[in-house]
Amino acid sequence: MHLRPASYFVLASLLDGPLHGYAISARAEQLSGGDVRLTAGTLYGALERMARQGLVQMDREETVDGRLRRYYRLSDQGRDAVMSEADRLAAAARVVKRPRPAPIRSAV
Amino acid sequence: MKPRLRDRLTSIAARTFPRSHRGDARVVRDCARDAVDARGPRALARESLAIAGAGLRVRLAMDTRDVRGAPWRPALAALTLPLAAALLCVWTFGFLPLYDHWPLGEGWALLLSGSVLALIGAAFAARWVVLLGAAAMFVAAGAPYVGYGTEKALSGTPTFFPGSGVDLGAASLIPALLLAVGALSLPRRPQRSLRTVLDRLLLGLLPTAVALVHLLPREAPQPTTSFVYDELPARGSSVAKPEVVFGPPYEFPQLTASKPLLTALGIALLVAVVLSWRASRTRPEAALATALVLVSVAWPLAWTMHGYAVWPQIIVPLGVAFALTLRAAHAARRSSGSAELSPEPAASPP
Repeated sequence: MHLRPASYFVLASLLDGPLHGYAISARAEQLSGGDVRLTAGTLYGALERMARQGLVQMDREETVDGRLRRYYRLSDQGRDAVMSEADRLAAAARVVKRPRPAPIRSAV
Repeated sequence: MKPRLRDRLTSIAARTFPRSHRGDARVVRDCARDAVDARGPRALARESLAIAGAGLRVRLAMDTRDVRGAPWRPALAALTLPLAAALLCVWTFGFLPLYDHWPLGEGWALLLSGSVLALIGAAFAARWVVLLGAAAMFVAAGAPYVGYGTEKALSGTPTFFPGSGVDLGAASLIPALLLAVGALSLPRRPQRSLRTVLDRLLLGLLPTAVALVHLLPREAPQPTTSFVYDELPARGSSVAKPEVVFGPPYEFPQLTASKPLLTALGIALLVAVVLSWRASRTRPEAALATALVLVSVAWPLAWTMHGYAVWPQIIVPLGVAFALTLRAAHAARRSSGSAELSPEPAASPP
């Protein structure tokens, strides 16, 4: 399963344990070096889609300072998906970074 | 950053979520408030728009699901009788005032027999009879537009519907198709009692009976008047003197725009919209049927409302049909109490 960058970083943000909405958004931004900035509405859509795909699960709900927070955790399938994507990206990066043989020129 | 402004904007944006997703709306709203607190006031507009977008997406997904799951088949079956009755009434209005010719042209024969057949079929809930009647009407009304019967002079065609007012021939094409689809939605083995059939037959004939009361006794047909020019205008005169010839009454059928007919059809549609809107919670299929009929006549209706064009009046029938459809679809979902349409915990927002 290929993951979009936003989905990849959302899943990656949950690797260390359950997080609530804003914490996921902040962690994804941190992990991506500021490339992935998710609003609450966008995150809602992404988490809804990933929950349907079985990649994340709702963990619990808490009210903190009068604000309702819903925590999410990675499912086993989500963990496998983010690991596979990491391997795929690493393999793709290796192709670019390792020394490459000279290109084959066709004899005309 | 004033907390009141933040709270107000995010609350307003969260109202785009449907009522059934209030819990989700609160979670997204509070998440957005966390983000605005952390990122500063510049994030407020972006977060508010994103909340509204998410709410609208949820609403769209729910509406799409409800509309797909709406009772379309019963709705199509329900519209057969009123639509067949309306079409018979229309053809009667066209036939009686102008037709003074026997035998019937093939166009009129098809139109009248087709609409009577469709009405009888709808009363008996006999799908193939309705289908046959609808097909006959569609063929007769559509034939002149593909050239059939127009090889003679335009005024001499067996059926032709002048477009100076509302071209009722063209206007009946989509309703006739809708009637055909409705016929196929009727049950294969309907449970019918003589009482029900008679009631439906009488109800279906009622509009035509009222039309006959309005139309009869008709005036004696007027002879056609022709002006024959034998010579070119005289020198110095711009007008030649024509010879006036009075011929027999105009023998070919026409369906001209009739103000009483259009008014009656408009009132019938309005009554149908109001009644089916009010009854949509208990009878969503009636509201869906009205919406389908509205869409099928949206073009000529808008043309009549405007006078000679369609835009922007077509928004009115289409908008009403859309609202009726949504209301009926939601009502059908609620009445069926389908638990699968309620939000699943796994698909909840942050």
